Amino acid sequence: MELEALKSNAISNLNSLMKNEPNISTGLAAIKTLLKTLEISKATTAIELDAELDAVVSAMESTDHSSTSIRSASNLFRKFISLAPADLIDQPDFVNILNFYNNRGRIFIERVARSRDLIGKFSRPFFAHSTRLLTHSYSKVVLSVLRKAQESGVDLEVFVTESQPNASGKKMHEELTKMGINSTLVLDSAVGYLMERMDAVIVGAEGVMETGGIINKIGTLSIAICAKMMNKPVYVMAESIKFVKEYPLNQSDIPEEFKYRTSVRAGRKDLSSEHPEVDYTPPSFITLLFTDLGILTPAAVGEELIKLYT
Amino acid sequence: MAQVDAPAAHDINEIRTTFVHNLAKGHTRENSLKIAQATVNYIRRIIALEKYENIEDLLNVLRTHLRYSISLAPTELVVRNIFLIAMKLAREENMRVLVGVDKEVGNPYDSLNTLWKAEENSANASATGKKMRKGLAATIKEILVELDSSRELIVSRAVLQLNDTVLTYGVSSSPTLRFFLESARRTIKMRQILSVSSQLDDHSGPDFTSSISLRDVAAAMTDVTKVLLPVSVVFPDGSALMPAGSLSIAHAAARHAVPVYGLAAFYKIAPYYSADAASAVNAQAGIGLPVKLADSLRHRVILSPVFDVVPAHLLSLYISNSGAVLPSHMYRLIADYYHPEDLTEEL
Repeated sequence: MELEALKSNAISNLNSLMKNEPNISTGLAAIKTLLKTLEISKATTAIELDAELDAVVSAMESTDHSSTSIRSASNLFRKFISLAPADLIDQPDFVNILNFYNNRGRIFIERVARSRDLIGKFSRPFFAHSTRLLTHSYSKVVLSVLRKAQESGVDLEVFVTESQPNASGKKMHEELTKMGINSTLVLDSAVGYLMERMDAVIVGAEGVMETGGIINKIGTLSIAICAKMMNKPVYVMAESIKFVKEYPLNQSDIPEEFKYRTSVRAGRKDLSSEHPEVDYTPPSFITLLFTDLGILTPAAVGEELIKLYT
Repeated sequence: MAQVDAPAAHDINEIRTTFVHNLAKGHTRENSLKIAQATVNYIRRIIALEKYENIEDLLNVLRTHLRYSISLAPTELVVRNIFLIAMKLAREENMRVLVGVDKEVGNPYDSLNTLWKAEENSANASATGKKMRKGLAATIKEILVELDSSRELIVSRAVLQLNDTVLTYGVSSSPTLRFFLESARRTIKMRQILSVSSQLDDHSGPDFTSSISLRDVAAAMTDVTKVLLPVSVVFPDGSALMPAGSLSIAHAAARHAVPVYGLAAFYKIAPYYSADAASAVNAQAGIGLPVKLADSLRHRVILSPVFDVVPAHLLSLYISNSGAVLPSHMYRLIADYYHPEDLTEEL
């Protein structure tokens, strides 16, 4: 297939997945799109296939969905499918290899789809009756974790920041209220005022960095700093497909494509007047990360990534 | 309690009752090495006397005994650790009988680089109980050997140096700590060893130490070069349960940038994170009040915590039998002793 057609296919695929399955994570939608590419691929060599996948990934990154999540998931997916036994690589017929990749991809997707349930299970003992939680912005993982706690009979009190500039906290607040969870929408500027009453801070992440820190909706850093100052634990809920091999040193070290949506970046050199979408929260402000691999300390994240990429 | 050679009872129920009774009786807690040894002996009897056909049976038997023990003595986290260690050994023995010693068995933990692997169903395969019994008895006995040597190994880690002023706490209830100090004293000339006591007129520390009270710790800390604390349980994030009072000592040490060392043998490493370990453990810690007094205080809440949770950032290093471990690296040791499937079980 022509690369251009492949690209536009991938974009419409990703968009429709995100639209039709409101609970799907960006990462999962990205790897499903990649699997689709594998399924219809007519590539006859590994280099051709690589070019196709490259095209699809860059097409997906050109949408306004979180580039952080798309990059981490795509990198993992491509790493996994390519971990093929040596005798398979020597096969003269590339179709066999494609089939093998397809199979790998499917197993990976099945595993990833279970991630949120696992996170809910691991984090469940951390919520007790009338625990007061502060959360930021809209996060599907946090939502599913809170739902799980609620279903097991724990009455939580959740405070949600409005999370400007897009007020995504409002959506979070509405969803929580719909579930019957006691939720309060608060101003972004009220975090310091509220912190002394909180038992814990719970946030999702767009990407988990090799440092064990996270990239998440702008404002997460200031909440985490405030929580640390007042000795409140900060819990991050994130699927392991969000692990990225990036090592940001400070805020200005975050890749541009993580900081601004593609449509904002398009054709512009000077972004200084734009609001960044995300900030980087260093590991020293994070207590624990709840992932489908288990409960991890920030230090353990880097180790997982090193095990995979060396 | 804790005779190393358990009484030769042949009724497992009787053994269980004796074990749990010994855990729960008395006001003062036995030291955890003895509890660990008693637990291993108890498990040895379970393996010898209980009936089981396959690995699932065996794990269920162990789980049932564990549940019974922790429901009656919920604060003894060491008992739980030893049981979980035994369950991992049982799984390994099963694999050894099935596939032989030479075959490599994969790491059962979920990891980022195994996410693409399909779940294996090897868990269903099992050796017969008869075949496992003998081998398992031998490996469980090895825990005892490891327990016996743990103290010596901890002592062999040279932490203390010439002219150190050491501050310790809980020496009278931690034989390991006492042993550590005694043998360090034999080889190194230290300036002073301060033993903190929680009561004002309590001078129960060993005679080679100078006694100071808990309220003097902050003032004394300016002269101290090292703090040594006994550990009851270590969690994977590097925080620890320590005797009540340790937290304020650790804070005082941090204030003066004095390194804090915790002595923790392998059986104190708990495989699970605890959201609120202190209240979970201390809730059960009743204190003995005379009946008359208890009656007049009926509606009061009496706080008498047995343990403090000391967060990882207040600790410099753990001295374990396998080496010195940074608090931030504690989670790496979990896979050495525990099997993930035993940990997901709600006990």
